[in-house]
Amino acid sequence: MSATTTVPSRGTTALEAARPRSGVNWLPAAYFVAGAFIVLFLVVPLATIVLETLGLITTSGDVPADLYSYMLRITWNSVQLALLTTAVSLAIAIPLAVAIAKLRPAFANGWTVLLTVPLITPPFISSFATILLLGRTGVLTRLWETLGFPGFSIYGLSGLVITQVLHLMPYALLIILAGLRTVPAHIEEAAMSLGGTFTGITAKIVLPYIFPHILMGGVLVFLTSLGDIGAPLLIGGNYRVLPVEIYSNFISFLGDERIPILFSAWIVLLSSIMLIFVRHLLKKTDVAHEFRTRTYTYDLPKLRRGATILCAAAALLFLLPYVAIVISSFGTVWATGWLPNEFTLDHYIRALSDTRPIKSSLIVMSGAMPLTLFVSVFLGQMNRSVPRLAVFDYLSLLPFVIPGVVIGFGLTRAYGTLVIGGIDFAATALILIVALAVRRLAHVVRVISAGFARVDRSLEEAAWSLGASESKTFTDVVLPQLRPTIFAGAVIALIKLITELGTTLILYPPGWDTMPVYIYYYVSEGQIGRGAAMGILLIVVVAIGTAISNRLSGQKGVAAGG
Amino acid sequence: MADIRLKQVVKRFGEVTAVDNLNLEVGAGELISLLGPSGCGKTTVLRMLAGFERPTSGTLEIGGKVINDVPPQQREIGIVFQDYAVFPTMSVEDNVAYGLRLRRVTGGELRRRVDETLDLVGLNGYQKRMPNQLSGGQLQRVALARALVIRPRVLLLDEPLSNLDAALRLSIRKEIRKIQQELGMTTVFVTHDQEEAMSISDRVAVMRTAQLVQVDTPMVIYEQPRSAFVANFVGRTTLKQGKVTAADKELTRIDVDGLELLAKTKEEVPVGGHVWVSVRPQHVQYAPESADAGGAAAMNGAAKLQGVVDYLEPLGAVVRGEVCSERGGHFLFEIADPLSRPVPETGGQATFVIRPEHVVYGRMTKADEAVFAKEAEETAQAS
Repeated sequence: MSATTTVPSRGTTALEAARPRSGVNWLPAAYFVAGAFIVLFLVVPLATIVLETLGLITTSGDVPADLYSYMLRITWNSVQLALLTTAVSLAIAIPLAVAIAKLRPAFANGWTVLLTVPLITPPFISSFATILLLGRTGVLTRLWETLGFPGFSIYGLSGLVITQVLHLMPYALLIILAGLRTVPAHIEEAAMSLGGTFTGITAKIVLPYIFPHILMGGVLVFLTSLGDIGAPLLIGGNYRVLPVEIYSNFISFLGDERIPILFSAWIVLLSSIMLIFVRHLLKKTDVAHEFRTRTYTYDLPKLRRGATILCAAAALLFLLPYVAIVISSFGTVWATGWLPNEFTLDHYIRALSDTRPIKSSLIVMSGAMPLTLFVSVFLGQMNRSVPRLAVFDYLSLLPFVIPGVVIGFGLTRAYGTLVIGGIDFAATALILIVALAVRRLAHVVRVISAGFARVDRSLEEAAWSLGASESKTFTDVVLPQLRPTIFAGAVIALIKLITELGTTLILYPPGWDTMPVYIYYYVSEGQIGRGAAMGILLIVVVAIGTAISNRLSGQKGVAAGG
Repeated sequence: MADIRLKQVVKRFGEVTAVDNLNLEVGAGELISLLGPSGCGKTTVLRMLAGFERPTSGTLEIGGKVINDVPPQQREIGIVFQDYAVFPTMSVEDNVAYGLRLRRVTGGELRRRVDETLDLVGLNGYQKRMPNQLSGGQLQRVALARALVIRPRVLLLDEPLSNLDAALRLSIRKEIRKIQQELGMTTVFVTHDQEEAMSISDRVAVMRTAQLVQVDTPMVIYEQPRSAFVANFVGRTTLKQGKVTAADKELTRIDVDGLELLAKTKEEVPVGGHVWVSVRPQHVQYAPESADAGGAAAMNGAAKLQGVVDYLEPLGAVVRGEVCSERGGHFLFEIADPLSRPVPETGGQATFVIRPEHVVYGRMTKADEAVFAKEAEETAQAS
């Protein structure tokens, strides 16, 4: 501090006379738009389903009792599948996470990256990988039978569990890994000094400490499995689950039109109950995320080697489907040998020359992504500055627990016949853009609200004191700090939007079949190679998008930092 | 003239009363500290002045105008937060210029005022730095400059020093005081650190559980605390309960666990009345020579305290310790300049004298009893 403090000339009246310009506070208008979006495209569709169901039950009176018992049977199928998938996923994810986080395996980061590849792929891709590997003519089936074991069928519950675990285990793994990073080293050091061993401390102290994360990982797997439509459609066989029943009765002329309505309302009811639980969990796991703490790792060479082997085996297992997809995307018929009969670029040429799905996906994406980001950002800001509207925060989580098929179905019931300015709303890409934005809202809201939590409230108060209106404060102070979060949200949105199948299957207007629809169509037609090629293209699009986003946010970060 | 006036201000958060019927006036150019333990409501008072919280009832005035309904943007207030709240995505210069730009100050005038203010807080040359390249002390100066540059009517400081290390705290508080006096800026300073409040303030307003308990200059707060809480919270002291055994206009005689203490009469408490008694450690004076000539000390009205020295803490400039006497119990003492004075030994017998002008007492109220109850609880837990 300088020795001679020059006193700023007091009373330069020009300044004192100048009041801060107030400016128009446009934030409430933005809140209104975000809130209206949620009401119109989430609350209204779901309410429509529930009301139609009430109508069905009370007026027609001819809902046969066996329809209810059928519904319960299908529900049990869904729950059974989801529980099995969750249990197996956690049984793999927990030891794997502990091995990666605590035992310092060689290439720890590499394994984490490899094991999370399924996260950026469409969920149903792993189902045709399962067909390729374990189907009737699959490579592993052949190996199995060559070794003299009895044959088996993957079409049904066991195949579904395998498929879903291959795709969903990484979700649980990531959340548990994040949980393990919140365990302060002191806790384990204290336990060590009291004579604890690695297994004892892990079982008695560390795992209980991260119990909310384990539960959260489990819930996420459970919900995704419950809402999954791709795998049950492709390899479910006669094992029918709720989303498939809704979808197949909806698209088929022979379907029972009461089933989608009744089943959807039933799912909305179950999901709303789940939501209370999920929200509670989210709060718990979120608080823990805020801590940046030193974590403890064990220096146990033998276990370390074991951990490396475990990670390598897991990575091999979970990447095998993708290897199979890559091979089949370059192969002709792959049914009789260890490898496809011939290799060809044909599938890629066809996939690329059939530009419509790619174009559809990109157009829908470029509409839906800004829309979800906009709604998420202003919901986040509304949530922190208008506490009495917290109900919207709650509602924004609904898509997290409600299957995509139900959201799509609700939108058609609510807006299927809507005509705006002579244009049939449901026949344009608009409905798909809106639907996907709603469908993936919860994922993006989660990321963005974590970013808001890091913006200190006193920064806003400081700006207000200096004379900035609330909206000016938002653009000058809050938004610049949210920039990296918004890019992270954009990546999540990209991945989640471009791989969406359930809602799209129900809603896509003629000519707007997206890449996942194309893949689903060819795989279900048995043209696995062609679907695989498009699957690889999809992964490439995601990778390019992620790279662009990272680059943009990285540059801004540097600019802001220097 | 009072620049800030709070009249019967109440703030409730649901069931909790954070501020209860608070009346306070702050003169123009005065620096007043709101001092109290955490959770006493002092920050809420500040946040109401800044406009971040609305009082449940009562009025807030700045410059004679009621500001209850004025939004923070129009209050012309500078605020400095505990966590600095420097905008992390703006350079030092842009942080300081932010309020000026909102007031449409541009070009050379903007530049001149920003540089002038950065100079004032000793950050000239740091204009282009980003906040993540600054230390905590520097960030706090940026926050101060940003608040001062708009020439606010009132400066509010919310525990601005508590995130800084001890040495920095001392130097920055001196600088804050200097700048505040040079600018003649009416300032409210919130802190839980009594030394900080004493060193920087014109007056100190002590708060306890949502209420203001005493507002006075630092020396009056220290020398004439009006309650056991203030005596105990501001500065170190030995706090005792006693009973008045005799009183006249000059002196009041108080029995403290068998020790007869004489105090200058300030408040008339009837014989038999229950009082709290506070004696500062430096007023418990080591008197080795009076051990045998005790009568002489007693004639001056000074009480004689004989006991065993429990412990000694040689701190260099002073030696602190505690003596335990059969009559009177434990007393803290402090000996300044121990190198040129006699100092007792730990575990040894020692004699101390306490003079009437150094014994502060007051009628025991419910609030005072609570202070003793809390202390007893803490002692019980410690042992």
